[in-house]
Order: sequence, then structure tokens, then C-alpha cells
Amino acid sequence: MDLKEIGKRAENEIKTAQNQNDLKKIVQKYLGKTGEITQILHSLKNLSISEKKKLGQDANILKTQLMNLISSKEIIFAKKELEEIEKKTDIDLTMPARQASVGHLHPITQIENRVIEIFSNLGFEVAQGPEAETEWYNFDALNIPKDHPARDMWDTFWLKTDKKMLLRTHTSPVQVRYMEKNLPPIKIIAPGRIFRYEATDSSHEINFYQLEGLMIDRNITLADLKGVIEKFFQSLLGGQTEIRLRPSFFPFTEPSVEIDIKCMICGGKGCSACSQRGWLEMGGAGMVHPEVLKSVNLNPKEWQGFAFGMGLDRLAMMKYKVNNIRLFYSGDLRFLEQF
Amino acid sequence: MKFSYNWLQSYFSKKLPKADDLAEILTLGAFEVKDIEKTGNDYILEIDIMPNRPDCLSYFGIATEIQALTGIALNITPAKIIAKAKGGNIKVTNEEVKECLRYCGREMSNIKVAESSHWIKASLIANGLQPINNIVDAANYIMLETGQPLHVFDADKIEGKQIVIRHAKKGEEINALDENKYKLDENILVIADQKKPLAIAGIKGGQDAAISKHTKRIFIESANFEYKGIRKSSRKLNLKTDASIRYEYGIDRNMCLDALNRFCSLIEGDIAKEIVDIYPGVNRIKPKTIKFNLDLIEKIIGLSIPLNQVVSILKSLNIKIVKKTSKALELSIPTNRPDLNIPADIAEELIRIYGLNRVKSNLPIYPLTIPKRNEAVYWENNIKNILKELGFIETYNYSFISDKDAKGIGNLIELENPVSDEFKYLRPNLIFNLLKLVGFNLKIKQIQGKKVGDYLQLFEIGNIFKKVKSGIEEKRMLTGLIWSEKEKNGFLCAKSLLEMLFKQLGVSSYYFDPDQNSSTDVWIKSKTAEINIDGKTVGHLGAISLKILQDFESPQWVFAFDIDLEKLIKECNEENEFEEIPKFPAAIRDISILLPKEIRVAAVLKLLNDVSDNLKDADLLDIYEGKELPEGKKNLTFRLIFQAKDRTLFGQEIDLNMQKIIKELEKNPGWEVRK
Repeated sequence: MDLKEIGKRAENEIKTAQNQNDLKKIVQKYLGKTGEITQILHSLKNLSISEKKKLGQDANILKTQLMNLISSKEIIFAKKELEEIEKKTDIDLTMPARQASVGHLHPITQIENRVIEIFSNLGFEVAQGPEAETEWYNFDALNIPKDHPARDMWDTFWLKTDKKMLLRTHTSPVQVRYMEKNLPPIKIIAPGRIFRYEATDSSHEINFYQLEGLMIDRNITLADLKGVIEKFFQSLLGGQTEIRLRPSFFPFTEPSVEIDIKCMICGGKGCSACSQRGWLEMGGAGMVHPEVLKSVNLNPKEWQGFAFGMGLDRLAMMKYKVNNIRLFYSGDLRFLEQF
Repeated sequence: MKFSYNWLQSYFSKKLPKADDLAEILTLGAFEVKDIEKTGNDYILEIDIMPNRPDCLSYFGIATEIQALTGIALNITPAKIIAKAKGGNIKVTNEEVKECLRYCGREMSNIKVAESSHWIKASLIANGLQPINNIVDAANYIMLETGQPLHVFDADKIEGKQIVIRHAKKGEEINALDENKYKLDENILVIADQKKPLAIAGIKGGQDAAISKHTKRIFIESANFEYKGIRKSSRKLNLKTDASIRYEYGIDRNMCLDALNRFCSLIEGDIAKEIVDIYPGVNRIKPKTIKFNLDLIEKIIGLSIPLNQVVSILKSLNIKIVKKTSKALELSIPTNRPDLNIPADIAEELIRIYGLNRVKSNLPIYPLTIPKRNEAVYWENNIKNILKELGFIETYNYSFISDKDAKGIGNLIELENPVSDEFKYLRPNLIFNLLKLVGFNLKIKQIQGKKVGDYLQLFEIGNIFKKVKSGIEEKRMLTGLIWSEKEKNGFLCAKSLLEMLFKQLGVSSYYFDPDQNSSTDVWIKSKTAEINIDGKTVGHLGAISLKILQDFESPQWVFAFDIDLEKLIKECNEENEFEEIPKFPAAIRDISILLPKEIRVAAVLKLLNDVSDNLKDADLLDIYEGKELPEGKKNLTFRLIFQAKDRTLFGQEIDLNMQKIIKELEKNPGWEVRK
């Protein structure tokens, strides 16, 4: 038999094989126990040494060639088979996704975390205080005179207790509590829930969150306040955020300022988001009043610094474009599940 | 307070900036202009006057601010009066010099009550006041202009020609000009004649001596009352007036006479030569002196203002420089500025007029230190994140509960001034407000036609309040709710989530004690366990009472954990130590025990752990309580995993161990290990 002819035939058959099964048959036909090439190899014993050598070599070469061809074809078929399974398995990509079971953090928690992170990076500690406060910490120690309209700046919830107590109207009492126990230099922030006795609407709540900040050292100035606050807002809202200070009055700071940030929606031209003002009021601040330092036995000639307070709800409303503060306390999952 | 742009302009010879620009200048340098309204050819500016600036509850005050901020000089014409008439008919006695700090008065005769001039009427309307007649209108006009409230009496109606400043007598009443009758008491100061109160001092006039169209002679009062008394009376009577607001702010005692004269110059009539002026020495205030070191500006503001600017700003604010050295100024503060007391107050005046926008941002330089970590905040945040990852939704609820919710709850803190019955008490737990959310949210989902999820997991971290002997006990709590459609699964679900939380927090030695007595009516006692960590009770885990669920309109079978956060945080632990990965194979044996139903799994586990050698783990595989079992019995199947650290265990060794275990288990009456 002619090896060449067998080789050509086999190669052809391998080429036209359709599947693994065809290949199996080809292997059997040529390389199996009774396969054509196997038979040629068996028949060698009847030939002369030189013929044996020549034919044997050729047959073995052909055998290896065919095996290589078959195995590369096999790889192709195996891949095809997997592709076939992939194709046959039907997944409707437009079907609604299965609900994942991770929960949600409240948007104010998220803002608070971010705020704490930024101030921690600037070296500020986090301090806390009680929500039910004494008149001393909420007003007197902060230089807010009794029976004066200045007290009306904070509409207060009073509690029916033997000793006169109230719900803190700002986080500023934490300043006093902290300074009583810690010596300067001081760098703290105090986020927390505060309370105001007022009618609720889309921007007013009876409980909400404030962030207090306090920095006391020997030479801290109003320019430092502006720098720190500006860094904070740029960190939180983006590097381009602009702030401005304008005069204000708080009994516990002197000078007192109001902090505005340039409206990010209109860029300061005035739009509905900023009530056409171009600027948004973010909080109050100032240099700590010497009387406040005295109330915690610090010498105002030695120590000075700034304090600020801003609404976390307000920040969250701005950052997430929430148009109604009451949503934060509604417990409505249609709201909470968006965060 | 409202200010008319045209009226303000009338105090300046030079043209003021346009209304919009003026508003911006005032906002950036003095007070926020909340609103500008165009009316006719005028603009009305709504200016938010801060409570430390009584001087600015007047046109003079704001005009002075404008002078300082724009550099345009004020040009106020002083009042010129010719007083020729004979007065001295009305005698004034001030019985309360601590409350009536100064009392000035003057008579005018030959008065013709008529309509006011167009300018006066327009000016009052611009400020939201109703014109009445030339006398009353002039008094109001002067009050707006100077900030000094005036009151005008019909001199012929003052009985006994005597005015007495005294406290009201018990039972006295007054028919006020606002046509209301006010009941007075001994704490309220009145201006009275011989017989009756004619006015509530500093707050409101009465009808008895009011100006009428027949009035011929008047007595004008220009007085100053102590702010605390006015505030108390105003609150007690629930009567706030333009006058009372100004007194509460603490207006200047030294402007009484000037305001009085300005009034006299405004109306036609004969002005009496005699002036009443009761101004006791103890009440007199003189300009304060403040020593101001020039370097203070730089020291607290962080920028320096040129000396000539400092001088001109102070001058424009009517602050006199009494002495000047290269380092310091001695300043004399006008008496209408009670807000200026210390050098820092002067620094504020200088910087706001000079321009706060000139303050350049600066980042303070301080030694590099790592801020001390606030453990409570750190762990609270960890807990929130873990719970979120376990599928919980964080909620923020009100710190209040309603009158209705409060029924049957003891030791509540009640609000003295609640906004409504809905928010009447401070919350005694977080559970109530959380429970409301279960029914509320399920209902919303139903209404929207959305498929109700088969479970709901909510939590909140917040403060709760309780009345105790020493006052108020305020505690921070962590409360989670789990509602599941498959009722009983809720408990196991809650327990496994809580265990996962504890594991993540490094809390290891905890157990759930079912034999507890500390839970309240909120819970189903038999289905609630005490959470113990390291032998300390930190809270509860269990089923909420069906009655409570009903009250809060929640579906049945809500499970909750309610944990004292401070106590939990004390047990949190970040330390962790690597344990060698086992080198030798584990052997597994399953064991089935038939035992009385009431035996708790924990008891069996404890026994297994106590008697086995090399027991690595014992897991409950199955609980079976089918009918085929003998009455009152259940079948528990455990998988026991044996493993030694130092060798491979022999089969024989384990078999012996199993025999020992079976023997120990079967020592208990009614326990049978199925072989």
C-alpha cells in the first residue's frame, strides 16, 4: 500500500471531520489496533532491513503528523462544544436584577463620616456631648445673656424636670464641655443632633444635625478660620468651591461672621437654588469670645481661636440635592434606599 | 425691620448707590438685607437687625452704617424748636427708678389734630404702619427715625394732672389702643394718672388718655425702660410692639430728649418751656472708654489695616479717638452702642467696614500630631457599616414620641413646650419609632403595587431619655428590627445577624440568656433573651409583644435587638491573633439524640463540649419534631468534628470517645442516642 496515498486520504478526512466522533472514527481507521497505518507497521517484519528502515520511518512520521492534526482539530471541537453550551443556555439580559442584600447608611451619616474624615486629616479630634443640656452649657457659659432678645435666636425646647433642663439648641455646649476638661492647643469638631422649637417646613425641622468646630491656640486668627473652612468645603464639594465671610452676631464669638459658599449651580449669578442670591448660607463662625474662654478658666490674653457651626442636614441637602429636610426623618424606604 | 430707600437718601446730600448695590453693601458689611421690594418710586429694604444692635432699629442707625460703609457723609439736620409756652401743669413721679431708667416729658398746647402730611403718611406706610393722625403719626415717625419710642397723652385727660410710674395693682386692667383689654399684675410697670393706668410702660398706650380729634393739649413721653422688665411683661401679656422690641434690645437712654425735640419740631403747636427729665444719677450712662492696641487687628484677624483707614472708619461710626499713640488708641464709645465693650468688638467694627472679603485664607501651622481617636465614634461607625453590609437600612427618627405612644410608660421626660401632642415626650426607647416604620413602609409598597419584600431589616443609633432621681438619664442605643414573612425565621435571622456583628466587632464571650427577668412589656418575655457579654447584660434580643405591634400598626412577629451602645463599645476589640492552620486531618461523626422537647440546644452543646476530647466543633444539623416520634420528644442531630493539633487521630480513639459521649448523654433521663 502506498503510504502517501493513505496519508492524503487521512488528511482529507481529518479536514472534513465534523465533530469529536468523526475524529474518533478516523483514529480508529488509521491508527487503531487494526488501522491502516498500524497494519503497515505490523507488515514491516516481512521486509528487508533497508526497506524496513525506510518504510518504518515514513510510517512513523506520518503517524505523528496525523496525530498532531487530529489533536489540533480536537481543540477546536472542544472549544466549539463549550460555545455550543454557552449558546444554548438562555439568559434574558433584560430581566430585572435579583435584589442584592446590602443595606443603606442614612445620608446624614454619610455626610458626617465624610466631614469627620476631612477634619481628622487636618488633625481635628471628634468630641461629643449630651442632647439634654443645662441652661448653663447651652446659654450662660456661651455668653448669651438671660432675658435678652439674643436668646430668641435659639427657639428652645424646655423639659419638665426639677432642675431646669433643655434640649440643646446647638452643638456649642460641647465646646465648653471639652475646654473644661482639656487644655489648649485644641482642635475639635463635634457633630450631633440639636433641637429647635419651630414650625416645620421643607427647610426646618424640630430636630436636625449640626457640626461644631473649635480651634484654640496662641495665634489662631480669622484668616486661619477662613483657610480651614475653605479647605473643608473644597475637600467636600470640589476644589473650585469659593467661600465668603460676612458680618454676623453670635454672643460667643467676636468678631462673628456668616459663612457663605458660592452657589455651585449658577456659579454666583443667582438661580432658584440660591434664591437668586448667588451665595448659600452655610453656617456661623467667629473668633471665640473672651468671656467664653473665661467661663472655662482659660486666659484670653494667652489663648485665642475660632469656632464654627454648620448644619449637616443642609450640607446633605446640597450634596444630594434633597429638597425637603423632613425626608431625612421620615423613615421612608423609597428615600433611604437611594443612598 | 423695613427701611425705605428714599427715606434713607433724605439724610445724605450726595446720591447713595442704587438700591440693589446698597443692599449688597449692607449685607457684606453690616446686616443681611433679606429682601428688596419696589413700591412706586421707592424701594423697601428688609434688613435683619441683630439683637446686639439696638441703635440700628432706626433710620439714624442704618444711615450711620451706610456712612461708614460708603464713605458718603451723613447730613442730619438737628431739630430746631422755639419753646415759649407755659407748661409745668403735669407732675411726674417715678416710683420705680430701677425699671424706668429715664422719663422725659413735655407739654404742647394749641394742637390741631388732623391728617398727616403726604410724606409722613407715605413714610409710615412704607414701614408697614397705619397712619392715624398727625400727632400719633409724628410719634411713630420719630420712633422709626431715632429708635426712641414716644407716647403722646391727651393732657386734659390725665386725671389729677399727675403721672405716676408704678407697678400695676392687683386686678387693674387697661383698655389698650389695640382695642384689647389687658389684665395687669404687680410685676407689670404702668404709666398711670391719679386713678388708673394710662399705658403699659414701654409696650402699649391705653384708650383713656388717647389722642382724639378734640385734643387740644398733649403731653409727650420719651422714656427709657429696663429691657428685662419689658421682656417679661411683653411675654406675659403676649404683646409685642414696635416700642417693646426696641426697649428689649436696650436702646440708648441718652436719646430721649433729642427724640422729644424732634417730635416737637415736627408738629404745629405751642411748645412748653418746661421739660420733665427724671434721670437718676445711678441710671446715667456715659460714653465708655476702650483702650485699643493697634496690633490686635493683626493678632486676631490676621491682616493689618492702615492707620489712616482705622481712624476714618472709627470716625464714620461716631467713635471718638481720645488719645492716640503709635501703638494704641483710647476710644470713647457713643452710648447708643452697648455692643462695643472690649477691644475685640472694635476689631470687628474695623474689619467689617474695611471689608471681610479682604481677609485672605490662611492655613494655620501647627505641630504634626495624630488626633486622638474618639472610640465611641469609631466603633459606632464600624457598627453602622457592618449592619449596612448585613442588609440593614439605617433610619433617623424623631427624638420624641406622641401622647398616644406614651400610654402606660413610666419615667418619661415631658416637654414643657411641645410643638404638638405628636412630639410630647422624649423617646424612652428607639423601638417605638422604628416600629412605626414597619407598617408604614409595607403599606407604601402595597399601595404602589410593588412586591412586598419577604423581609425588612431596619436599625437606628440614637439617644433615649429616662427620668431618674438625679434628673435625666440619657443613653445611646443601638436598636435593630427584623420583620420576616416567615414568622419564626425572624428570631434565628436576628440572632445570626447579631452574632455576625459581634464577630466583626471582636466581641467573643457573649451568650443569649433565655432565663431572663429584665425585659419590659415591650417584649414577649418567653421569646426574649438577655444579651450577655463577659457576664454583663448589654441588651435584649427577642420578639416584640403582639399588643405593642398592634398599637404601632405593625404586622405580627417583629424581632428586635436593643443594645446599650456604650456598654457594647466597651467590649469591642480590635486585637486578633493568628491561629495555626490545622496540619492534621479532621474526623467527622454525626450523632442523633432523642430527648424531651423542653431541653434546649445550648444545654446539649454544653454537655458535648464538656465530655469530648479533641472536639473542634459541634454543629446542629437538624431538629425534628415529627408525629412519628414519641409524645413530648424531639430529635437533634449534631455533626461532631474531631481534630488534634499535634497528630492524626486514630479511628479507634474516636470510637472510644464517641462511646464516652453517648454514655454521658444517656445519663440524662429520657435521652436516647439513636444508633
